[in-house]
Amino acid sequence: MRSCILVTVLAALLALAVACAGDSSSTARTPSAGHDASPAAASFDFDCQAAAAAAAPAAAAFPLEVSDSAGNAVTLQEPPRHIVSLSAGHTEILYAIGAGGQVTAVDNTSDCPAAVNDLPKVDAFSPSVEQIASLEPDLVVIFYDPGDLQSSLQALGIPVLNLAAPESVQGVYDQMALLGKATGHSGDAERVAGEMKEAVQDVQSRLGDAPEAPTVFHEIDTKYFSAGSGTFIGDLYGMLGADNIADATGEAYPQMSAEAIIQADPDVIVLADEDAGESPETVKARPGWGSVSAVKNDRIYVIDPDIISRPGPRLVEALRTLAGYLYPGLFP
Amino acid sequence: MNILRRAVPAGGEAPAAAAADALATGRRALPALGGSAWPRFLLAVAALAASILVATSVGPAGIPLEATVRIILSHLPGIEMADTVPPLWRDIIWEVRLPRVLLAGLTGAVLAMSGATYQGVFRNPLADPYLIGVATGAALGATAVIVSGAPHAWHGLSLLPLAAFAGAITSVVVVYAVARVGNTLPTTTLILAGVAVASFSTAITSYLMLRSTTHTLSVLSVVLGSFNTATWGEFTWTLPYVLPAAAVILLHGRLLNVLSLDEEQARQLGVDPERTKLLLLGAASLATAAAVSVAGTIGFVGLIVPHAVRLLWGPDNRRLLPMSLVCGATFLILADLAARTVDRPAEVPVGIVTAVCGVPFFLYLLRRTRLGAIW
Repeated sequence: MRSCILVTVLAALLALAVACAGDSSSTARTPSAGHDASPAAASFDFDCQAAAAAAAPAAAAFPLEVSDSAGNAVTLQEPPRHIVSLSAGHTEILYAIGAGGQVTAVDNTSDCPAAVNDLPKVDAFSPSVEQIASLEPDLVVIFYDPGDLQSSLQALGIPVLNLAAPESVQGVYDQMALLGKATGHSGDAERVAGEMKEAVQDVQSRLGDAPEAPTVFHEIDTKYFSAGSGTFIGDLYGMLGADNIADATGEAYPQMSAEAIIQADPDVIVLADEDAGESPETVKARPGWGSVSAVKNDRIYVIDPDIISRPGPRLVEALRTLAGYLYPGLFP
Repeated sequence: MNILRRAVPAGGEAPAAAAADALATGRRALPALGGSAWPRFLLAVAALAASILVATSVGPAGIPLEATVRIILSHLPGIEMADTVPPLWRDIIWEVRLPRVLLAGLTGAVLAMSGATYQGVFRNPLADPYLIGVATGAALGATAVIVSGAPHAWHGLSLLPLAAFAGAITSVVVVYAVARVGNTLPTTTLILAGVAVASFSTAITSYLMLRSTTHTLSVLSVVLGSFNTATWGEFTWTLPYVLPAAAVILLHGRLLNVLSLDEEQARQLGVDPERTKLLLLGAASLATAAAVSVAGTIGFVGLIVPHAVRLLWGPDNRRLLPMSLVCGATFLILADLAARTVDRPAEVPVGIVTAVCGVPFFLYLLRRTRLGAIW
């Protein structure tokens, strides 16, 4: 019985942990690496250290109605000016589309751009309705409702958009458009998404010269949890034409059998669990992993989980970084 | 009274002696107590050997049985028959699959044997080896290391099992110290203290887990239990605790029989119940702590296997303990085989398999035999 409860919790928390990787302790390191390949045409970059450019919202389209991913229709009378964002990905999107000036408070996993570190913090996983209400927001963006959060806030007259973590790159564009509309930055959102698509296209266009699709194992956790297709991370690998060994499971976040990983013989291993002490050295030292191509050819890479697991503007950076790992010849 | 003077592992005894035993322990003579226990025990050992063989030759990586046998035999001194086998297969069988199978077997053996011990000492059919906080203590210890962000390795040692082990032992010692009244150890107090300490550890573990979203998966792996990253190192790390503990427990089957009487009666029979309780609980807890530190807190095995053995072969602890050990190993090896094959190449948490497969079988036995007749 304990196990059954745990499994339910596991399923919920898995999605959360992956969608919102990164906690307040990782504030200090917000790398903006991975954009050293400087293509002429597509130079989109979302730099956490750069000052966030904010623009005044366009009020013309208001009042308006938007539907969130939970199916709730939310009516906004005028552009929100006191937004509370409860996920790091949405915070980054809001700043990317020029709505940063309207953000009043963020959750404790949000640490990018640097400007948010000065804002009041709300707990992402057990948010306090009382605390959020006391911030007097006119829009709250959440990615997960631990239970009655949305209805409690709405009962207080606070509009809430429940936007589940996107499971694909297209999902990020969709949420950018939706948040653009809701915040009075439709034009900005469209422009930024266009730049991102261009940058993504630029990366993909260079893949045409790739000899063949490398197989990859993406490690989320020391017990070999991974991300398959149908997740944001899996979609990034799919867009790069990589053969993700977790796809064979048909699950979103499967735990891979050690011997199945060795058998699949990945060309590349990407570690998103450096926080848990894993490194290329520890992977090489794992008994039985010596004959894996990635180990033999020294192609084990460490990626900052924040850039790959936050569905937001840094997906471009994530894509470029992964492209460099998968195709070092094409992305020097 | 002859029960006190007889040699301990009594094989091939006469039915008359068994009946005398049953009378001496104040129990109804059950059919299961008649006849020699050896054929059944050897059958169980054969089943264990077969399960090891099957589990080693079946897995997500399809490796032919012949190659598997070659690889294993080639590790015996003086035999080299794996020349033609790809190194990848050799790694999978020898470095990944075999240590995993053996670690699962060792863990199952420890949990079932410790469960039988706890049930005997506490005279409570609901007792399992986690009753006085071993599992929750281990989970708390491991979680503390995981969320601290400290590297999990320290001077070549893996910190995780060390922390889990320390947490488990601390928990048991605290429970024991709280429950001790003078020189006696009232079992009711012990159970209550155990439940209280377990709730406390669980609360802290849950809090740490929710605070640190990045490490949720690692913590849950410990809580649900998994053999996915089993190594020879983990196997050998548990042996120094498990082997002496198993020896102590197996040699005390007869005293455990006496202990399952009233403690007053046991004392009249010349047994020091406090000393025996302490020794048995200490050994069972130590072995469980070592197993939990590498396997995580796999539920159910320690509760169900001893009962199943009891239903099939009777309550005599001299047979129950070794039989639980062997059957626990077999059960967890097969459960882990299912864990890594039903959803290949993905894993199913083994604790879920033990519950899903174990419960129906146990309910069937319960229905057929009526536990009350034995317990």
